Amino acid sequence: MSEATETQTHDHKDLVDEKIVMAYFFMALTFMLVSMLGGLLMAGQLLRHNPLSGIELFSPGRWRMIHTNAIAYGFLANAFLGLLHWSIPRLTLHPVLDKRLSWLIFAAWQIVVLATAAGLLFGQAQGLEWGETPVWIDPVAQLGLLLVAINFMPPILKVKGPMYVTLWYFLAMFIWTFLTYAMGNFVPEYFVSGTSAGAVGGLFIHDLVGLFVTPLGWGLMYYFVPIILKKPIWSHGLSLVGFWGLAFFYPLNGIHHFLYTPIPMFLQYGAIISTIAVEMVVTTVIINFFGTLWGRGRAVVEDLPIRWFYTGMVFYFLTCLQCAMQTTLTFQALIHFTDWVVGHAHLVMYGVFSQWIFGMMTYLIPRIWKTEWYSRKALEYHYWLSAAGVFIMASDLILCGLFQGWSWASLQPWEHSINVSFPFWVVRVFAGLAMFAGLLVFLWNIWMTWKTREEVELSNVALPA
Amino acid sequence: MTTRSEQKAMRIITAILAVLILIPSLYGFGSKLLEFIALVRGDVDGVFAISPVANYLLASAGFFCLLLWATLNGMFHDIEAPKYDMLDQEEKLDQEERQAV
Repeated sequence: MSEATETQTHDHKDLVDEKIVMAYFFMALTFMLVSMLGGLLMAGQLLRHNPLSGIELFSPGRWRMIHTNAIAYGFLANAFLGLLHWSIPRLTLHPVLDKRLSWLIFAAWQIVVLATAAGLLFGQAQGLEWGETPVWIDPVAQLGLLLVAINFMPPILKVKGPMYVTLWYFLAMFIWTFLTYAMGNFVPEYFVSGTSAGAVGGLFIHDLVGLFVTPLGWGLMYYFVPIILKKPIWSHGLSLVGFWGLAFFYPLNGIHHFLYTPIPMFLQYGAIISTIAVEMVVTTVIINFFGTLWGRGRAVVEDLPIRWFYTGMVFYFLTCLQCAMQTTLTFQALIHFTDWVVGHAHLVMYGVFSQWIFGMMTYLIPRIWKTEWYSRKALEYHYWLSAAGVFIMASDLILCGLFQGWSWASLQPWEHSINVSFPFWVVRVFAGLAMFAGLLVFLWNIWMTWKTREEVELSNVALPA
Repeated sequence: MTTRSEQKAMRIITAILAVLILIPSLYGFGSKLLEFIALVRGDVDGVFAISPVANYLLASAGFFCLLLWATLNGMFHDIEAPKYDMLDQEEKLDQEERQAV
């Protein structure tokens, strides 16, 4: 970044293909809608109000997988790919390798996600949590990830001199995601079995969060927070500590999903210790971002993208703190298999990463369309319904998990834990409805912004002089 | 500017810290590695352990090489500079965009 190269350009139009960014956003929000519908159906199922009861194709087990896969591969992956098309060319001053390849990847990725959904509905799921993509799709998805790396890595590799932390995260993510997907989907399927396959599955589940979603999320935060606040990150050195800490401590975390299993204890202890080490690393990252905000605290009130980002950061710190506690053997004995884990997953996937993406969309959509949001009030509704909804849902499920754990620990009949859970599951439905309403408001606002958009001077939108 | 005696003192302190930290760490890591090898060779449990540990060691070895390469190529010299360069670059891009509108 510090040394100019001959092929660099400062022309935004040459660097960024805004149409593909919007196309990815559109698909991401479509899959978010599908995923939330799946979540609501599952919530209804738990209350014995399943409108699709008796239809095998739409059985709850299959809907649950649609819910999780649509979020991971439909919403998060699509949104992140769109955001990479914006941030990498602007950070490196080089366009992606080939814009036609970008559109090919876009089309291929939608086919992968839709084929996954069809495969899951027809009962062809692979027996691996979060890797349920049918086995015949795995090679195509793997090829897609390779093409993504081929398209995005050249501009990063052209950067001369010390790299900005965001590019470190992105560079590592392209390698990690490719390896993680291969490890999780092929190793347990074809090379190892039994407990060993379980251990690899544990690594896959957690590495997908820590080595795919996390580096993308934090990489984008290190890009968007300084440019919106117009203030450099508090300490670039500390941000690199966070990156290298993630690189060395995260890969062993996954086995903490399988504590108290026949996996050798030294591996379980290793996972627990590295999880606690990651929490230390996370603390440095949080300190860095709040150090950056220091003196500009009003931005959290006035600037919606910044509010989304910092809300997500607070939730991130809480989830990691939770993670460090829940992976201890004592705690795990109580909460394993309970709704605590479901609450934790919602807090991290929706409370953190989805909220960050909403913040980035809130910033970029009017900028790309060169207009202002149709309704600021609707943006506020989207924020409050989503943030309050996920906070209530996560708190509710975490508490529910404790009651379930105590019920099982006291050797009560299974039905007792169901009866105890019922009120919590009712609250969960209403929290989910609030989040869903927030999304609908956001979609309506996007539609109205598009319909009523007027060419206004760019400096009035998102480019304060 | 540091004087020669200060540099010497820093080297001595670094060496003492290296001995105090690295020797126990290497002893701990080495003994655990030997334990792991013994487990792999002599116990059926070892098979369970190979896949995740091998995955971790391979990934970490790769990133250790990257860290080494980055250090030797001056990626951490003037460590705070990239954050200012990034903001300047964004400002230039925004200016160009404003002029184009």
